[in-house]
Amino acid sequence: MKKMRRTAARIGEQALPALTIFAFVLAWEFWVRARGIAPIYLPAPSAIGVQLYRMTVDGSLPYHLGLTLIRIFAGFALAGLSGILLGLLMGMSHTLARVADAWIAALYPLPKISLIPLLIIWLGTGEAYKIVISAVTAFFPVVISTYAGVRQVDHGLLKTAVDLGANRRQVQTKVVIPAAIPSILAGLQLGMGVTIILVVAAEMIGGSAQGGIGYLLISSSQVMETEKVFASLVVLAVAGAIIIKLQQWADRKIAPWVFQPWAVQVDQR
Amino acid sequence: MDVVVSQVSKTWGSGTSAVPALDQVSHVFGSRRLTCILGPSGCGKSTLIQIIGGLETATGGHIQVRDPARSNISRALGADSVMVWQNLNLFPWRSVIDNVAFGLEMRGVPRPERYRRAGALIAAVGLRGFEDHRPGQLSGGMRQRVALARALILDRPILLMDEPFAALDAQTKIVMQEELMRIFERTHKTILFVTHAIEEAILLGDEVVVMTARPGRIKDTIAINLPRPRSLELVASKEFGALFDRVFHLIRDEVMKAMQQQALATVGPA
Amino acid sequence: MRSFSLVITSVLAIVTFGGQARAAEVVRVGDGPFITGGGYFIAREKGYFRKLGIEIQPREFQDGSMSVPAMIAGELEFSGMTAAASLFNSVAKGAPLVVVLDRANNRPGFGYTVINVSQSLYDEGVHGLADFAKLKGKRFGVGAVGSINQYNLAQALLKVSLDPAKDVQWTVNVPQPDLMKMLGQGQIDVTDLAYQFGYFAQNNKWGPIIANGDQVAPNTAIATFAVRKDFLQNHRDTVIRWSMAYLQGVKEFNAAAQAPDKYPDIVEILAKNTALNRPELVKAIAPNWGYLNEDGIPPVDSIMAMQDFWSSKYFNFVEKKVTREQLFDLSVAKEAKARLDREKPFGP
Repeated sequence: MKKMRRTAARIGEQALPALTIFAFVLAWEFWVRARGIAPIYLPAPSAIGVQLYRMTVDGSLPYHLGLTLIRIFAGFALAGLSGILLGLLMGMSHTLARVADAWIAALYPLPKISLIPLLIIWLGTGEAYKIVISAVTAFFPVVISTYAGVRQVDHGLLKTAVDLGANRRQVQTKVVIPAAIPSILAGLQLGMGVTIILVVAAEMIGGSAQGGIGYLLISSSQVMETEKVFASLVVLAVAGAIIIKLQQWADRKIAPWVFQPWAVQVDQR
Repeated sequence: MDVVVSQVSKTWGSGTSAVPALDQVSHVFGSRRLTCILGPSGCGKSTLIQIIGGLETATGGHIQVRDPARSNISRALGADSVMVWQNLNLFPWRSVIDNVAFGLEMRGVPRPERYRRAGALIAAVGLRGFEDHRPGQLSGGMRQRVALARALILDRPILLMDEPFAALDAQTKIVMQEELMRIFERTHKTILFVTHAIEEAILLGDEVVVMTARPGRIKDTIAINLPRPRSLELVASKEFGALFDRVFHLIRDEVMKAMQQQALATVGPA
Repeated sequence: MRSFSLVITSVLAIVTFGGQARAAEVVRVGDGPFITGGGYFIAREKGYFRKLGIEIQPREFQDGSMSVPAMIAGELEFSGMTAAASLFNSVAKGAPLVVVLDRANNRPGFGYTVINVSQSLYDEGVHGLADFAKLKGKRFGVGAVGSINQYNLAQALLKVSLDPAKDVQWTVNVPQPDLMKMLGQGQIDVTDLAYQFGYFAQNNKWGPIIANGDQVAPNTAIATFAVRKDFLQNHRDTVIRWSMAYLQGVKEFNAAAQAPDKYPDIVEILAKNTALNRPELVKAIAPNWGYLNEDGIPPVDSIMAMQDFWSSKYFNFVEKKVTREQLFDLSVAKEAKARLDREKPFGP
């Protein structure tokens, strides 16, 4: 009996977020219908659902979503690799760190969205500017977190490694980098969020010729198809949530010692 | 080998914010003996042992080792010592066996060999079966033993221990003290053991070096002539009680001084 | 007896003139720096609204389409509204507005929108609408999706039996000044622009004008004026008077379009209030300012035809169509024109 209650409780806990969303959507539907709110102000979830169904069935949704996802991963890969590399190099060379730090401090606060028109002039309206702008923006949190992670390695661990016979290169590869991993992963999480935002913004702002969720958003907004706008937003939100969750799962696999709580307190003599 | 400490001084910082931690400390730590360094908090004992281990620099003086049979020839410490730290410094991302085998890995010992030797040591400290666990999954006492195994695997003649049992609960502490004495009796390394617990110092040591409050100097040295092998029952004996009184008297004023220093909220690493 | 009549006269004076001395009604109008709003600019600058007791509070939107959401939100009474897919969808989805006045159409001779092609395409022989058949697979750039510009280009393609959705590549959501540059840089091949931009592109050798909107789709609406439904209901007389002042401005606009040198004050007003900026440019593009119907009636048939096109299989931008009655209230223009002609508040 107790076991059944425990299982029920666990299922309840997993289902709780889904239940709250479901309740919210129901309330929204009821509100719009009861108050007779015109779709121009706020479409009903049922109308949005119909659009989602149509856009999936006619293939436009998978197509545009696919494009956006490809751009997101391309931009993220670029930012992640370059950011981690520079952050590690900065950690190893004091001179490089001082030089790079000045540039980073100056460029990080610039709103990159404002650079999109400039990038289009240089790179044209194809894929290049979208991937570049998202990579450039995501680069900063990654490099900053990586560098911080390297600098903040516990000195005790470094002294221990030296004491146990590690040479300079071994300290860097066997201690500094693994110790910096939690910080690097945090930077990558931030970078992913920013990548998603910038890819969609680039699809919206630049001359939209090549589709994507941003293109769906701006074109349905220009013709006042409010249901389609909301449908695109819903798709974007769900896709974003799935990506972030996947990343968190990957983080747990890569650095289990950080993301797992202190497990069983086995006490042995 | 003897560890010869000559006129070692250490000052943290400089100018007006200079904090003197050690003031002309000199001592010969006998070869193959377990010497306890006892002192109040802030007296610089941790700094001293790190300087001996080559992991901190001294502002003055030097450390040497010499063969007691040929005491006219001495040299600087190379890789003769290994440290067991107060907060253990286990690598949290490595498993127990990878932590223990770390020193061998740095030396380039191939994996099957170093895993064999680490495995033996892990079993010797009673952690067989936990080779693939990570430190975060172990209790305090178990982690302590991993740290010990990691140090012992390198088989260096000098073992430096900086308050290794300070964070353990009373029962685990007793277990670890017995463990250490067994290891000492078996290997007879030169062990320098820093502590602030009088009882522990007397129980474990062949000699207790008492330090003053900051800036640290050696106040006095007391030989502990209790017979080995030692066990816990010794604590109740009359000889132990007499030694305890002597040491207590020596250290009491220093503890008071140290408390006053802390009350004045001064800055300085422990 | 004389004092008594003095009193009476004074009282009457206060009652009549006092009525006019009462604070003028504030009407908030949303607009953009486009010459199609010329009738309104003229009426405003020349004080016609004020003369009929209306104080205009203008709000300018660089992107004209942004004024519509502001009106729906209740911040404006009147707004310019382009003849685009967004108009039909807004009304279909319950936007509380109705179209009351014409705000420029492509009457032959006055066409305001033009089609430009890149210089290289022109050199390959694309000189006019008949050559549109050569444009299969080319890149077409427009500002807003579903705009009059996209409509014109689509009509031109239909005339040569090309599928406007499938047989060309669309680059959308580019502001018109950038479209000009993209044409020059070879990033697009064809575009439809407001006259001054097409003219500018041609002069800079970015691409010549090959057709005018008045050839592609003659008399098609470019823009309209819409008013908030509740305001029309509760302040109908104000709306009528606003329209009267506007129609007076329309008359002078059309006159100046045909002979700009004779109306320097009009040219000045237009230059100041639009993106054209300089009077020389205003004169240079005359009479291609778009035509404003002097009876104020918007070209209803062409607008309904536009809705049919946008809801057809090609683009399907409009899912739910609306009726004439839902879109238009033509009584306003009719009543305003009648009163203007009858009362002549601005002279003969």
